Amino acid sequence: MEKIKIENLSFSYDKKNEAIKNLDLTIKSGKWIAVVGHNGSGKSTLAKLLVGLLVPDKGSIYIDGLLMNEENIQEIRKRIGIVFQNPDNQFVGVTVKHDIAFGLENQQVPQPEMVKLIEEYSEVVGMSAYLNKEPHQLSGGQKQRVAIAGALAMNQDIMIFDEATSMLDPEGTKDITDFIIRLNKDFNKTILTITHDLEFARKADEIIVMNEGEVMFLGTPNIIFENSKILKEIDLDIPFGLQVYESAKEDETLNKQKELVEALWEYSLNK
Amino acid sequence: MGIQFKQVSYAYRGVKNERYEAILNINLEIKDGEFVAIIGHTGSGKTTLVQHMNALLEPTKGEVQIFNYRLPKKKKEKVGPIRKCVGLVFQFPEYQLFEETVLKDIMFGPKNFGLTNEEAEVKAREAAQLVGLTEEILSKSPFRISGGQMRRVAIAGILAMEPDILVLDEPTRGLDPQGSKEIMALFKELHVNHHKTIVLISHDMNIVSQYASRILVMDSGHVVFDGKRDDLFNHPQFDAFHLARPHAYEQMIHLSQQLNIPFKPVYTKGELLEHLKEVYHE
Repeated sequence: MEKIKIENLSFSYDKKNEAIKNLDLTIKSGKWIAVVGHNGSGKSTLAKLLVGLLVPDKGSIYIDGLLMNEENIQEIRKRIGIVFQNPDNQFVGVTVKHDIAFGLENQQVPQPEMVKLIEEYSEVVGMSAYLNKEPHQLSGGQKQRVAIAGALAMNQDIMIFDEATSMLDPEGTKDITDFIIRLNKDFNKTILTITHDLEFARKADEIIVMNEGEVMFLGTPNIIFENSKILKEIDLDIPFGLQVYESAKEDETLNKQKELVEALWEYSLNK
Repeated sequence: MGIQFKQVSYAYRGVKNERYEAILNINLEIKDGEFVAIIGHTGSGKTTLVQHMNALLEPTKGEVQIFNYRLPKKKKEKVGPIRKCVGLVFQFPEYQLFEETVLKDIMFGPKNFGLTNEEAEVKAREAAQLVGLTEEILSKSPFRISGGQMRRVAIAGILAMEPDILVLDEPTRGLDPQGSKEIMALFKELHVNHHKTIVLISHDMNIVSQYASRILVMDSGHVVFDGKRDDLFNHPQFDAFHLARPHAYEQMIHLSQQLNIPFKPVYTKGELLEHLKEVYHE
């Protein structure tokens, strides 16, 4: 089933330079799509258009077959949620508990259920010991975990993570990554992750490479990494292990070492 | 001179007036000309620590010495001189841009320190050039330029005050790989050619290991490691720090175990390949 359908979408911030150019895209239900591209490629603009924070100049967006317009926006927002990069811009509660509750209150979730959801999702992101803390008592990464808990508690079908792990340390990134995988595989949510991090992106079902407001490439991670020239062209680093493998292949001395080349290849598949 | 922490603790106060210790009994000296990285997982106290370095926070216990100034300060003492010596670049500094043009935004700091319009403009133009902003951008609105450029504008605003020490809280966060490389190259240049002392907070071990000559690890408000990269990534308690190793170092460990290649600490792809070539050359 088509979860998201985008037709001929264009958007410009200044009426001169198009941040999104005639974009067509279909995303099937239950897929995890990673959107990659350098700063200014249009990734975040696309995310904002998808949740109705920006209004397109041209074209249409359908979520679950519903056309994005003023009439449908409330219904659409029940189905699609987003976690942004900078948690300071999205922390609205006086305490962690209130912040997670904010979206639920907007959806008029009954009190007892709300308490349960807050407990459940603060546990998931490892913040259950902090429910009564205020934002200034939390680090950037902790605030980000709270933002993620708040979004997850809303139980929307489609979740967008806009560089959502960029505030986290390596362990935090791993926790949230594992959780995104769980959301996708166990809860069958449709996921869009917007990221510079190709090691993270390669875990997705498909990768969309954006450049100058257009979809430059769309395919499985393996196909994209086999065509690593595309990623280099737009200044995105392919995963480290793969870089080492490719360089070794190009080196006369190293390329002769069958055992080494094989070990580097194996390593590149996981790292 | 630099910065000295003597048994410094800082406690935040919550709603019910309960105390929450963010850093505890820190003893630390940062000398002129150092390039120091501070790492540790989220909530370990990194940001609280560096906010003392330009008097944004004052210790609730102990004493911080910044050049000739002491914190906690005396009642009527001004913190302006400290802020002129130590420039703090926050996380996502571009959110603090506010002026009509890029040039005016960069001029704001020096004007605040009492320079005339003309003097401030000279400083601002110098700083803009230093961070690689073109003349054309200076007249634009800071909200009509790319994220990477906005960050440069914010950094130029700090540099225009000519601080001796630059404290950077996750300066590459949110930038793409190319943007990160460019901004780190800028800090390296400021360090090497302009003799700025650099204090860098980062989660990126690849960056930390390549640029810093000294690494501090924080955990639950304490400094649990203070030393050189080789000693850190080889530390017997490394796992207890909950940190990742740099990509090249990690792969080196893997290869030495799998193929019995002699281990050597390497931090970049180039160093790793160089070492492999040496090993297989024989």
